[in-house]
Amino acid sequence: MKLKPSPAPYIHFPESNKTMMSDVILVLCVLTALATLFYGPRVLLICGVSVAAAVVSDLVCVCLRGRVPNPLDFSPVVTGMIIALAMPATVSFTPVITASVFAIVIVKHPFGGTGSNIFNPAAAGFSFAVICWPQQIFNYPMPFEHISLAGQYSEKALAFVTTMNDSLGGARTIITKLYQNPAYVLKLGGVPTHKTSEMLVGNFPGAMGATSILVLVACLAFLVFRRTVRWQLPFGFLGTCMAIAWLFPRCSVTPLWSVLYEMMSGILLFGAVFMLNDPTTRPKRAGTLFVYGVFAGLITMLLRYWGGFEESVSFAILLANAFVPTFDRYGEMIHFWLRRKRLESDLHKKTQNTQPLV
Amino acid sequence: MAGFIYKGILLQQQKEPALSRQLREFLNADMIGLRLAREPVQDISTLTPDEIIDFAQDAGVVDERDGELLADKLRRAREKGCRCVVVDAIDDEPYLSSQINPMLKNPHLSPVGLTLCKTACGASEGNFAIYKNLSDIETRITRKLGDYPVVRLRGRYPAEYQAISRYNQQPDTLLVGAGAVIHLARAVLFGKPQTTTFITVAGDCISNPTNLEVTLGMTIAQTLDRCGLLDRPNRVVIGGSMTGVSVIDTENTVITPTTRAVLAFRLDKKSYGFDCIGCGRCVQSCPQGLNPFQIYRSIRGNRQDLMRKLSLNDCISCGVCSYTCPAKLDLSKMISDAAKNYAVTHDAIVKSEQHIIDYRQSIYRCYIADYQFGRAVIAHRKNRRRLMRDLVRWENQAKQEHRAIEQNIQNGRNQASSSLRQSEQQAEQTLNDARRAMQASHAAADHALALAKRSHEAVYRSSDRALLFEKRNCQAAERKADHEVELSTSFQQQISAENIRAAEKALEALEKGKEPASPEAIQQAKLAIVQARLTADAATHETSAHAQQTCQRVKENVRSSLKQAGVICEQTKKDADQILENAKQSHAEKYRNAEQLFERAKQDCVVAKDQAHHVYELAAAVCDEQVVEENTRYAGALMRVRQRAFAKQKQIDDVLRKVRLEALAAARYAAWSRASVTGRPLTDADYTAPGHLFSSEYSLRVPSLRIPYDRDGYPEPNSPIFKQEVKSSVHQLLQMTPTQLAAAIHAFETLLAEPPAPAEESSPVPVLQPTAVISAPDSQEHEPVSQDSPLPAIELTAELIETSDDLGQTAEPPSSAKTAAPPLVWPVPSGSTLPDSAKQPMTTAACSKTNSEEDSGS
Repeated sequence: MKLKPSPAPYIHFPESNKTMMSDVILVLCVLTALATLFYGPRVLLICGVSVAAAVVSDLVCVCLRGRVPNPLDFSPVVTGMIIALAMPATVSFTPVITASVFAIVIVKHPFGGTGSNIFNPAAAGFSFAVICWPQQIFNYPMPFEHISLAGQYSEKALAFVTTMNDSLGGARTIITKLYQNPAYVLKLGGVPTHKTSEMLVGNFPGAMGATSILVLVACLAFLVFRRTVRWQLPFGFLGTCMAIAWLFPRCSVTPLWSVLYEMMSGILLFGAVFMLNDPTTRPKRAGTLFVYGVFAGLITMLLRYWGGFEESVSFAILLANAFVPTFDRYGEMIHFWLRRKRLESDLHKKTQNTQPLV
Repeated sequence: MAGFIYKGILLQQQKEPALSRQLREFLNADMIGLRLAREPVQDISTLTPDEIIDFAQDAGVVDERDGELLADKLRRAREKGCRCVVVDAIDDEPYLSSQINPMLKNPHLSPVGLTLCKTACGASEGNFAIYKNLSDIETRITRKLGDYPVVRLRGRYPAEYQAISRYNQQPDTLLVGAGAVIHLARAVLFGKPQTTTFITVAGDCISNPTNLEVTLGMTIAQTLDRCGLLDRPNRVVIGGSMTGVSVIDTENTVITPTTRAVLAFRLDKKSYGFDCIGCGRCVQSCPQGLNPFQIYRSIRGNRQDLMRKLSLNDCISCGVCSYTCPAKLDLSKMISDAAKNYAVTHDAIVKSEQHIIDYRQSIYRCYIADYQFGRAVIAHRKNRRRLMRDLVRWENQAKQEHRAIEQNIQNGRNQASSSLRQSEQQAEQTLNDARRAMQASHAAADHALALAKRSHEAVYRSSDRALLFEKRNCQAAERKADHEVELSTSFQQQISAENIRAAEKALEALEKGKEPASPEAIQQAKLAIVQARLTADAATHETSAHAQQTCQRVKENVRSSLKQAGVICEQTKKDADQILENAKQSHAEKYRNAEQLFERAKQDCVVAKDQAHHVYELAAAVCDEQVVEENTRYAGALMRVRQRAFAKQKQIDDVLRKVRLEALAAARYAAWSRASVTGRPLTDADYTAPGHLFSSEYSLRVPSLRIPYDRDGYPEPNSPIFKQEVKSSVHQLLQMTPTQLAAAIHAFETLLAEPPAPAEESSPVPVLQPTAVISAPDSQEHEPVSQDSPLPAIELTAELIETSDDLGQTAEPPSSAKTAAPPLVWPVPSGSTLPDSAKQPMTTAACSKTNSEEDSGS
């Protein structure tokens, strides 16, 4: 029997890139389903548009780069879904498509595509959209209000306007009012009036996927359990955010409430779960991950407290991403030093015996 | 817990059903009957360690862990001393149970083997080590096997590596494979040599996974056939599933003692075409704490420099990274290949890098040394100049001092001579005074005499005149008396006449009168006239008689007074003569006295002059003495100054020489290190001309070695230092004659002011010919001089020869260089008889000789 040689090992871990992405997509699908429940089918439309834009632009970019498109590479799907779920349900398609295309074309592929990008594409795309259309993105509808597929975001009315023909042939305009997120209230120095229980389940104006806090926590737990997300990073990030919220509350409430409001407002938890834990852009070692998380949390809270926008997790993540190579390098230096120390101690132990017996 | 401390991965072990099945045999029939030459021993307690080792040696038992002869291991452990023997049955790789299965299935043999090993190496303890993490195991692992405890090791996948490294840290532990232990027991108990080995045949293509005892030399194909194949495998592996080797040709690959498993897989490693997404699972799971992600990147980027930082050589090729990688990259192979290549090239790279670094450092050091040498040369030049200035200053100081002292002495001498002159003058003065006094007294005496004479004459004259006067008076008185007589007569006559006339007139007047005069009156008048005539005659007569009488009296008086006056005159004349005589006597006496005084003053003057001369001579003698003394002192001071200057010069030169030697050493080292980098051997040029090193590539950056001396290390004759030397030698030459010194210096300055002849042109600069190099214009003159005077004062010979030695061949020993070079004589152009003047003061002859020579020379 003549066989081809192959390198060791001969058994492999069954998980692959595909499974990792699938985990995230699964979780995001749950969130999408929840958002659909809250806001109606428009959510699915937005997600579909976003994912389609991301996938198409990714395909184009891969082809332009002269690579063979890999059908099992789900990363643009993840990017598109994250971007879509970070937006309100009433957002028009332009910001969504722009964000997705920006994320793929500008942020991801110029740096080498999947696995080589420095900045998280979803965060970058979302940030781009936020900068371009801040009002549209930071004004959210209440859940369970009527948001039709044919509706349009009206810049002038600051509302979601649906014009539909009724059976009589006359045009009927339904205006869905838009509200501010608790993050805005916090930014202004007020105290959000939402009930905590409502906030935990997500029944308050906010981004499509970012409101249901309990589900998000469950998603995080799932991803940590699946080892797609390493616990050091969200621990460090959320821990820093909580500590800062506890120590320096923005509104005149007790520190505990401050922490709760800060955690539940905006897309902080959503970003902590999905944007921050992008495996490509995060550091590699556990300790470095923790430091990176703390750093990102610090920047997030700084931007929240003194930044221009009410929600700045994506900006903070982008900023922290820029420092990841530095963190990695210093982490490697420390580990090199540790290895050196260990080797020296081993050598010291070995020199005590004259000759190894084995 | 173990997984928390040791990284790694939990693997599905897949040891069933092979582990729980019986150990089966697959033997070559020819091998079954083989026995050892020596008798088997049943009672193993009787065996000595040497016998056991001999058994192991004869049976050829091989430790399946590392392929070494068990006998060798035992012998080595015995020599070294061993406390504990551990039977290694840690099958931590999936599918692999070829150690634990025979160990558990032969419970009567494995403790015996362990006992034998223990006895052989003299250990006191023994145990079995088993990997416990067998989740799917049905076999019960006993706590004890025979008398020995079974140590259960847990942990994630590279557990054997961790265990071994832990055992290795204990100095007195011997690890033996489980199969080898069983084979040793068989050899001792049954006299069987090792003809078989224990393997696991498993994999998803094997229909009947089991542990086999296979005769050595069976092919893999036979083994696979023995267990049956479900499917045609696309991968057959010898060894573990994580670290094994895939077989290319199953028919031609045989079972060896170190074969632990034969695995046949149908596992199709799907290629998804994924690239690394940087998930970091490899980093998370690497048991060595490496960063395979970064290593992978550095390998792909061919960053050899990063590999060391990432500790590429620490990779143990456990395959964990490849196993976990979700992109299915062959990280382990890539890293271990890179590590092998890196290990091969590492040493060479390190060495060549070391060489290059060394070379660069040496070049840098050379540059620095050269720069420092340049600075030192400048400093040396400055110091020399300063020293020469100092020397001149010191000498000037000494000279000034000397001159001052000389001036003092001269002043003393002058003072003495002036005092002499003064005293002489004084003596002259006193003499003159005396003479003048004498003359004055003479004059006074003469004057007195003259006065006396004059007074004498005057007395004479006055007395004569008085006499004459008396005479004249007398005559006058006579005449007067006569005259008086006549006068009185005449007067009487006149009166009578007048009376007559008056009487006549009165008659006439009466006669002639208008009234006719009474003739009475005319008679009266005629009577009066006759009376008057009568009276007149009487009166005349009386008067003349009276007058005659008085005249006679007067004449007598006059005559007596004249006589008296004559007497007085005589008297005074006599007195005057007397006085004159006296005056004459006193004059003579005064003359005598004055002359005596003058004589005495003359004598005094002579005495004083003599005395002054004496004093002056004494002072002059003292001055001469002082001059001599001062000259010797000045000579000594000059000598000291010179010695000080020479000591200082030697110091300065020493510093320069030291720096120069350092620069040379640095240059030479740079040449060596360049040779070691380029591989070009060192040539003579590298030794002879260190500046050659910088000829090509470093010529711009590194200035060549600047030497203030000529090529052989001697000072140039035109240099001011040399001139100064000459000058100072002249100083020394003429130090005993300060007056000549100035002239000589002047002469030499004029000599030196002339443009000196270029010495290098005259000498063709051969190596180590110092005398030729320093040949002054009149080199013939001082050659014999150098022979008869060894020149202790100016001797830079040894030093300069040493410095010249630096430039010469290193192979040449310095002693030979010294012997080859004649002792350098510092050239003194014309002042030939130099030196020892400090010890033997120069005679006047020598002085004159040098003077003449110097004159001739100048």
